[in-house]
Amino acid sequence: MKNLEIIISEIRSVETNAGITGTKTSVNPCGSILISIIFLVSMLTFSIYDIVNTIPYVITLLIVLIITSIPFSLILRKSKYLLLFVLFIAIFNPIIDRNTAIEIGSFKISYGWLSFFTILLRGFVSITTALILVISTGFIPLCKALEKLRLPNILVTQLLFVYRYIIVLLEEASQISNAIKSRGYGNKKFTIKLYAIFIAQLIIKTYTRAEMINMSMISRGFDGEIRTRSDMKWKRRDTFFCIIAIVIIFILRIVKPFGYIDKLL
Amino acid sequence: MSHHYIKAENLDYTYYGGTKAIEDISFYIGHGEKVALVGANGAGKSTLLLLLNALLFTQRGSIDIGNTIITEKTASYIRRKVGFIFQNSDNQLFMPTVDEEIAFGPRNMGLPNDEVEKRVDMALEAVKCQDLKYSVTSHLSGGQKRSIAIAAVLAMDPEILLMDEPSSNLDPYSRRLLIERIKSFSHTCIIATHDLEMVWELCPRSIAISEGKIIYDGPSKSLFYDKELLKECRLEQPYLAQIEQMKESEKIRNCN
Repeated sequence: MKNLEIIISEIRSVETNAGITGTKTSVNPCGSILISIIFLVSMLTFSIYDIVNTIPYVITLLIVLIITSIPFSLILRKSKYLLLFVLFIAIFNPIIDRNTAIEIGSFKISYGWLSFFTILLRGFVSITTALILVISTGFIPLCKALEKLRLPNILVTQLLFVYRYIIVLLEEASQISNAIKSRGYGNKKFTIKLYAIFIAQLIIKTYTRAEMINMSMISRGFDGEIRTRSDMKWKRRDTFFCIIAIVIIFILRIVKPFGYIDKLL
Repeated sequence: MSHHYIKAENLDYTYYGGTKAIEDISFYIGHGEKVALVGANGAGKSTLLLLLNALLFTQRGSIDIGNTIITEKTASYIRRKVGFIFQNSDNQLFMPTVDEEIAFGPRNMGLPNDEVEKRVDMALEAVKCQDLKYSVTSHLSGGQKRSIAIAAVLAMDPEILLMDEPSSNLDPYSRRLLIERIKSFSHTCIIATHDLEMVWELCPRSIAISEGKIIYDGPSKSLFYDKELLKECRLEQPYLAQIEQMKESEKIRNCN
């Protein structure tokens, strides 16, 4: 519970810094989304055992992090739970798939271990790409870009509402948690009964608050579509960005910079 | 400009579950009037404002705003004409940045981008918060949030302003700024509040509500001098009224 304030402030810091890097205004969000998708698809088309050709994707992302000056610690903090989930998925591979893939002297690496590390790297690259996209572009411009890319309006609006509702939910949860703690007299245990009350109160309070927010939106003409500044004109620099990105992806996928290591193995 | 009036006749509103919030309320508010809506918590002030903004619909009687009767069909037109500033600014501000927040209403009105930008700047100027244009809404102080909530409504260029407890949770400095800003508005204003000192300064007329019914509609000063009525509304006589009364009684004593 004590982490709720930290989570709220982190979400807010992403909102504030949705341009930590200055990239927010310099690259068209549509271009960012498309390049991110192409980047990920190009990586995912490699074989699950192809760890050598996955590593350049990790290096590329690390370079992007340095260029955009997004702190690596921020990425790690935000991706740790998802990475644990990826780890859970990958952990069974070394147990199931024990056939030897590489033999260097007496040292043997099984296909299971290869796919284990590849899945971890792929997970890291996918999560980091998504985080860089959100942090550098901002959630709302991203949603508007998705709309521009023909994602149904109803889905985009739902995404925006979910985003808004998560913040409301966290704020209310933080308030209830503080109220419970302030009268807990140092009793650190949250009993099941207390959890039940907490969840019930949370649902009631967030529902009421969401209703007020909805009223406020309707009062200002909301008709089911969230209209934001659609400053998404495709500029020359966006074309330039996309060409460079596609060239890099081409090198990663077709030229394969670490291909020679693959041949050695 | 004489069409910015509000004429409410025999309004009734009962919430689901049977709580009667408004009972047989009628009043007329003319163009440019600043009227205070006073009464205890749960008296029905907020419900009445929601009815006037077409966010709830009266179950009996009618509300005529500038020759338009509030119905579900006219609701969106009414919401353009009547701006509503909610009690809790946190509930009102839902966009990530101040400029997006203020532009929300004008964009929904279908205005072109240039006009939206103009309105954002004008609204920020009206509340003297130009420097907050690109700030993140959740990082603002209580007073700043209230100012931005007002600017967000002003940007829609409403003819009538409804304010629900505008001075609550504000520090004295922010409250003073707010009062000065409201003073400068030429809009027809209805202010639901417990802050009678603010009413003293802003609203020549007050409507007092108790248990969903109007129990007083007249000059604010007369209400403030009527201690019995104030008690009935669970309100306290404002200090300014007390001082004025003391001065008057002193004058009478001196004359004698």
